[in-house]
Amino acid sequence: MKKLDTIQELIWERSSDVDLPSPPNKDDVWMRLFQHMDISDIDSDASQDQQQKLTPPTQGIWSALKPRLTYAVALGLALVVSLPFAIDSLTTETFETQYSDFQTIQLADGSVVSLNAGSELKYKNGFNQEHRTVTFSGEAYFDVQKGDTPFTIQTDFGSVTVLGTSFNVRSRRDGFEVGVNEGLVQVKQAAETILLKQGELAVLNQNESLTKKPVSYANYPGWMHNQLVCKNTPLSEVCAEIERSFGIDFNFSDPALTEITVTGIIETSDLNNVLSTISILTQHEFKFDGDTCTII
Amino acid sequence: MAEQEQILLERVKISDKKAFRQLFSNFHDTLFRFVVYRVQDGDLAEDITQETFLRVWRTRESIQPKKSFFSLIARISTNLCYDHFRHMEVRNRHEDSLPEYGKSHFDDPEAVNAASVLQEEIQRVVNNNLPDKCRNIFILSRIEGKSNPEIAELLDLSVRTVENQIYRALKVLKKNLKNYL
Repeated sequence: MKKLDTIQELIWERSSDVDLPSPPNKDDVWMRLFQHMDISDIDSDASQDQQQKLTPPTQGIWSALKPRLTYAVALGLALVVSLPFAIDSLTTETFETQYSDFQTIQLADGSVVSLNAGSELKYKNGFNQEHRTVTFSGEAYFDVQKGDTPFTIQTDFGSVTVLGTSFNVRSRRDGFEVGVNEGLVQVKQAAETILLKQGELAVLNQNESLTKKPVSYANYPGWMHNQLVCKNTPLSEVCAEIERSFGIDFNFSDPALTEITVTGIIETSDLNNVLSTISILTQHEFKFDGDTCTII
Repeated sequence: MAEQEQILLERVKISDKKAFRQLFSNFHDTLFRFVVYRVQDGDLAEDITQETFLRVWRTRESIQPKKSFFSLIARISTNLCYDHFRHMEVRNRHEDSLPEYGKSHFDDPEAVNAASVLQEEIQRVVNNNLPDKCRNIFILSRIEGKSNPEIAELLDLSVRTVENQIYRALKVLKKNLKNYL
């Protein structure tokens, strides 16, 4: 900023502490807005045919001007956006997937991490030089390169330490699970430490202790093969997984429905297929309006 | 962040209400403060904020996802503010709460030292004497407490432009407030 004189500095100071009414509750405003949106959608559906006849010619000029503006904006954005990130990345590197988003990342040590939807992986500077520790939440498949430094994944529930293997970690609000496809993995949760071999799975159960069991199906972990494998899995958990994968919402006409358990393999490459499979597995019908699925 | 905004805008374009809600909750408070500074009335600001989002939803098909969402809603809300003040009865309702145009400190010598007078005057000059772009940047900086890079990102401008506009605002303010300082 250019140099300011004392009067400008005084104005600068004073202008920030104006007494203003505070914003209303966002959720309340949204509720009202949401109703208006529905009303306006109905109105516009009715008048759409007429509108379309009236508007077309003006668009041409805009689309001719648009490309140049787009380049200028993109360049400006790239410069501006990179600044805060540059500062942030001095200490921590973060990878994040949103709902209905998947990402595969390669770390500095050559390890490959495939992030399932709605997951986050972070590590501090000096990864592969001073340490191989990452902080993680969500679900991901790790293919860790062999190395002298142990590779540690810290989660809200416990930590997983390995030297070099392939395994899946699931650390979500509804549970914590580690399954190994190759090599040896150490899982530490509270005071408990267990070792997992190839084909073994550790699950954190209700009474907060880890249970070891065999991986019971070939394509583990299912999400890496576009499958959702359910074995007496509560419907609420199955639906939460689909919400993450496809960015849709589930409603239940009766809360008791969430307790139903589901067993079977759901192919997740196509949403319609997923919904009809669930319908078959649960013996319940559903209604889907494009973003919310109601199970009846 | 800007990338995420673009994804959300693309979804809104195809009528995704969930994405729209996300945008709404990202920008609601900022827009509200932005509007309330200009209209000085919490209820009116609430109406304008809601109407702004509603207009975005109604015209969602013409959204350009690569453009800054905030500069879009800032523009819509600015126009709505003008519309409101053009209505005589609305103007009358708020006349008391708005600082009088051209009031000088000689009218009220005892209040000269009160910080509130200066603040009112700053607000008056910001609303009456600053060009739109300059005013928007100034409000975001001083009222919303945003940093220059944040403003630059919100409005799709360079950081240098933001700095220049703030400097320009201070120059105008200084010139208009010289009786109060």
